[in-house]
Amino acid sequence: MRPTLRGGGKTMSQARAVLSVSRRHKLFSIATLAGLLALGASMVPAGVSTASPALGHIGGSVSLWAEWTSNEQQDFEAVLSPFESETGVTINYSGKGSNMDTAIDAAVAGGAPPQVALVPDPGTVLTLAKKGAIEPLAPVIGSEVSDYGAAWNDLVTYNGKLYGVWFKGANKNTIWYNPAEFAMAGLKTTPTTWQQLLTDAATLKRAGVTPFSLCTTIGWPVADLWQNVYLKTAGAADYDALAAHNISWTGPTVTTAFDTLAQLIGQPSYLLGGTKGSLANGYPTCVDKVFPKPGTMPQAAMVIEADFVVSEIVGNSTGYTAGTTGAGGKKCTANPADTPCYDFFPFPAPAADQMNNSAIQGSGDVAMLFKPTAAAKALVKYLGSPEAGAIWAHLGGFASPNKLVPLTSYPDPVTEADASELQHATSFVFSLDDLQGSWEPSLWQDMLDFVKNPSASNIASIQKTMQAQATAAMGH
Amino acid sequence: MAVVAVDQQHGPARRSARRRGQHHLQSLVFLVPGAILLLAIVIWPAIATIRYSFYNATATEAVGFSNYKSLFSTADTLIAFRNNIIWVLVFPFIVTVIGLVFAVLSEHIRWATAFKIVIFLPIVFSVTASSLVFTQIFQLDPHVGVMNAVVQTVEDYFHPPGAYPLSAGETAASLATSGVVAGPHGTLESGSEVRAGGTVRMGLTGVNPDTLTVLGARPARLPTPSAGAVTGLVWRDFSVSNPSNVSGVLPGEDGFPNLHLALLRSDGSIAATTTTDAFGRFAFSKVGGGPFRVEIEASNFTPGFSGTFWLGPQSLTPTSSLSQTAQALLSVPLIDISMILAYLWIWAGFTMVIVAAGLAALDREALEAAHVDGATEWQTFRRVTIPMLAPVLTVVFVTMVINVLKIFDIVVNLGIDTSQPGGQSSTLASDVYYLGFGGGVHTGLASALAVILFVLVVPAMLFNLKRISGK
Amino acid sequence: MTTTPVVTTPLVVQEVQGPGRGLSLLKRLRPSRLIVNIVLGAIALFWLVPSLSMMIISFRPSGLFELSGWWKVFTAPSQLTLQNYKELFTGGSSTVLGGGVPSGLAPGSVLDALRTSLEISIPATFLVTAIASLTAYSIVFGRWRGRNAVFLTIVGLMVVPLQVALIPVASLYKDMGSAFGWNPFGTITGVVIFHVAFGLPFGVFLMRNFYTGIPTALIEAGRIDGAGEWTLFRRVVIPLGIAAAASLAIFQFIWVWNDLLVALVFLGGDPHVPLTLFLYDQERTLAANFWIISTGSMVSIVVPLIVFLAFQRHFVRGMLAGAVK
Repeated sequence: MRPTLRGGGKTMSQARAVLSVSRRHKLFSIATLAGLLALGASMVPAGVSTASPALGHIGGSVSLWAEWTSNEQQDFEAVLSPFESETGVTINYSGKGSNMDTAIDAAVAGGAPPQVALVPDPGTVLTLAKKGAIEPLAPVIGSEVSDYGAAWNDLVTYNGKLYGVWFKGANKNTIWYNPAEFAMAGLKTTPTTWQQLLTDAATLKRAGVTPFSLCTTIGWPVADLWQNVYLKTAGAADYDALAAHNISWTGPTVTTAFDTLAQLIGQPSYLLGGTKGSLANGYPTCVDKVFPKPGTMPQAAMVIEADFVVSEIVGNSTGYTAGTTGAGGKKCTANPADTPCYDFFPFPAPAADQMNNSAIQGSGDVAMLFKPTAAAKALVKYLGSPEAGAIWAHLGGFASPNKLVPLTSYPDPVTEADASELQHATSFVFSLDDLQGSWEPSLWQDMLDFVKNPSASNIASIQKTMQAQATAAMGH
Repeated sequence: MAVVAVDQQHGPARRSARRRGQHHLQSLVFLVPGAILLLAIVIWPAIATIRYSFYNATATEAVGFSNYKSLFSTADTLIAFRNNIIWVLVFPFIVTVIGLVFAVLSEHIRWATAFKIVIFLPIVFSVTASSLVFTQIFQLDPHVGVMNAVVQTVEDYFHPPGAYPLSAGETAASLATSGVVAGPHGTLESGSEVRAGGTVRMGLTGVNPDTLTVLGARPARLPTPSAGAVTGLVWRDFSVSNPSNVSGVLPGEDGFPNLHLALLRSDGSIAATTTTDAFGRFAFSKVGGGPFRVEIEASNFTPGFSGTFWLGPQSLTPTSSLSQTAQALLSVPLIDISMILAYLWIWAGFTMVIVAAGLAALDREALEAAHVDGATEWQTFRRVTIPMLAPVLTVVFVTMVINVLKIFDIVVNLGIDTSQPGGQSSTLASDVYYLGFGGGVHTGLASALAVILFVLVVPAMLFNLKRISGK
Repeated sequence: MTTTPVVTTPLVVQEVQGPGRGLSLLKRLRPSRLIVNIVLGAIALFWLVPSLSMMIISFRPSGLFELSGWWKVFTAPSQLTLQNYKELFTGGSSTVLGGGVPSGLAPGSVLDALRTSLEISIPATFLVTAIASLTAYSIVFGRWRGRNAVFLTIVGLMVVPLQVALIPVASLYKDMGSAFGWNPFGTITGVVIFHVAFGLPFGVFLMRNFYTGIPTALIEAGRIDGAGEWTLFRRVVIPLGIAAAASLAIFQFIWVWNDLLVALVFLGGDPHVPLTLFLYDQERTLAANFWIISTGSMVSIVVPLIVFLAFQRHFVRGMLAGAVK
């Protein structure tokens, strides 16, 4: 039985996808063709989106739940409104925030679930499929199934039937940096290897710039960071084995990952606030330290986080330009009231493991159907279409796992590069912590223990603890 | 039902017996609405929980006692248990005493109503809102958190930061780049000796150029040597266009203004002191002979107050070198104390109000009698008032003990991450919440924890209750 | 020495001049009165700081929240603004509330949320007070065996944390739906039932302890006169117990008014949500918009404060009428 996933409050959960090379080439050419067609279709004035012509008037209403509230809710409602006007369906949307799993559990138990729901972890989909609470989607979305990579689909397939359609994706393989801070240290290029990253950090330090603002008040960003390191040092195959607990946590690949990460975490002067300050640095404050609101200056140069930081950055000030040139072609300034910039580079693998550079960690939100009314089915099909994805893609802070969403939908080259990474990954893995079920919070605690004391002896003891916890929770 | 009495002698007795039966029935009927609700909504789920504790994660197959075994085999449960103990030992007693003190003292002021409203106000706020307020109060950054702002003011008065305060993890030695070595006690010294008429160049890095700009720094300039004086330059040895060049004074590299320097003789005694100018230059005039070293004083680098991590897991008891089990049981994380403070702020009004009610209902004659007998205020308070208040205080204390054994909302809101299972501020009830919610999480473990919670609480409660109902 | 258990529960915010005898005690304390005033004054100021901070934050522009501490407002009073409140009531512009909150009484607006909160809190409070009083009466004045055991059991139920009941009760509601055709899940009634049930243990605890202070002789006399239990309850016990009922009502009202978890679980899809849920929905997924919590909290505490002030005056009247003795 596939280990069930815990809906970790703030985590975006991820799917595992490994595309073999030959399949990738075939899909790529199909995708290119489809992309070109979609490109043509997307040559439509901004703000107007044509829902698929097959949708006529349907009428009625649909109850829809997802975790998005506030700003993200606004963006999501922009996705829903063309559907509503085309079909005459009223969508009753309710954003549940981080209590999505509780709400769904209770609603299913109470016999009153929503008709359509989007959840951030595939484990919920599988549990509900097993209970028979949701409908298989192949007959609903038809040909859209092939718009998603096999591994994305595998994650929400139960007993051979597909129960979920992916909508929003997130790329965790990113390190976001402030180009003005890099310029202050004379760094003209971004690092492509782990060693170079450390050297650049040393240079930044010499220039008087704190290299990293780590978000380590909570455990999941550290877990994500560690998982990135593990993926880059051990590769996707070992990553998947570890996630399924077929490799022991006391094994050498795990030790290597810890030791490698300790090269960064073990330098308190590289971290904003040192060890103590990192432990007090929460999300999204840690992002604000690198990309502040007008009124304060940046205090660090890099933040290692997934691409959802972009909504935080542009929320701080609309003056932020994506890329290495500021607004109006001016130089990037550190002062956010001037012409600040933001950019990212892919998480670098050590020089010896460069083949792992195209393995990336990511996450996503998946839609499922509780009640197959005509309106609900149409909504699910719409969410799985490239048109829906393109709307939010255009607004930023969004990357689509749908291969047909054209890269030109994205508002700037930075987001485009980010989404492109997601689409073109040779290996794609899901956040390991979300696959660990009930010991996920313990895993996060163990990661925090590591941050507090990254010495070799502590690493050994943490590994032993994790092995015991994993065995207890996963049964083997 | 008693038969209608024909016997005149026993008439009234029979009638009252029948009425007793009717009263009996009627008062039992009063129980019905409460009983239905409690059975359906509270008792049945409690029983279901006990049952689930013997099942697996998805409540589909029975697993016997293995959930209990796992709970007792990891340090996580011990940590939660320890935190509950800390809460129970500290909070109910303090909150009851505070309530008593406030209730008693407020009788002596004219503005008692206003005072009571101020103390009671926190209960009206939701725990979520109060937790957010306290998260702000306990913030690490002294610009945002009140507690640290206050501490910083005091700290900076006694230990004022230097012109170039070190950031966390840095030492003065890490700044030394060219012509400088680390000296004792956090100072820096010139790498080579110098005599009168000589020049010293000391290059430092690791300082943000903005810091220098704020201090009025200008591009570094080499000083002209002067006979009988020791001159030199302290500058930022980092060039953006040429980062690998070390020890050269390049354009774009600023001097270090306002740096306090001392001239050391070979025996370590201080011959003279001076300060660098905006260009980073300095001069010790008329120094006499003898080889000297130039020292950059440690006071330049005194770090500013970086903030106490009030919501952090660091232990107040020195347990870092103990075994994991011992640590789990004996640490007292600072966040527990901070949470207790926040919770006191919320609940003191509750205890005060109830104790004040008890006070108001006291028999004043007994107190007067004590005074007439010559007892002092304090003696009256201790020997008469408190015993008479004992039932009230017990109610308050017991309610608070139960409240604290179930403590969950403030732990989850204030602790966020440290309240996760295995975290330093987790409690049994917060573990039940985290393990029991969300898709596919461990219903079995959560239920087992809940059962452990029941088992721990009930005896404590029964013991205290006996004392009340026994009276 | 008094033998009856001391009355424990009435909510007292009474003037110091209440019981006349107190004054003579006070005269003896005049020198230390100044100290007491100073000490209590300092404590009150200190106690106010967190509440004050919330209030001030709600009157400051939302962007300033992370940049500087709220106490800066004392040196820059021009920061104060009503903008946050305007946003909350008239449906924010998208930059501030990010979602466009409906205005007026439309479902999903603040006023609608306030109304829904009232719809939940008022019945819940009334029912808990009523049922707890009935149950406590039965336990104290009833004439049946096992009263103590039942009391201890009910109070023992205070131990049960409400999280464990959320899913079982949800499925119970669903089963009721199949059996009786009425599924309370997703309805306000379902929420009220849940709150009443979980408020009963403490309610019974409080009322029972209060009722033990009422002389049983009163009840006995009534019974001999031929009064039924219901009459006795209505005519004798309720009037005497108003003070306790008032305090229970206040605490229960505040607890239900501020509840988030039960509303979240049981009212998930409803467009009419209580205020706590409304504020929760305004938080961003990955961060907390603190300014909206503080503004919303300011709005939210108005009703419980009114309840508090209204009930406490009622109690004082009861007290002075010699209700207790």
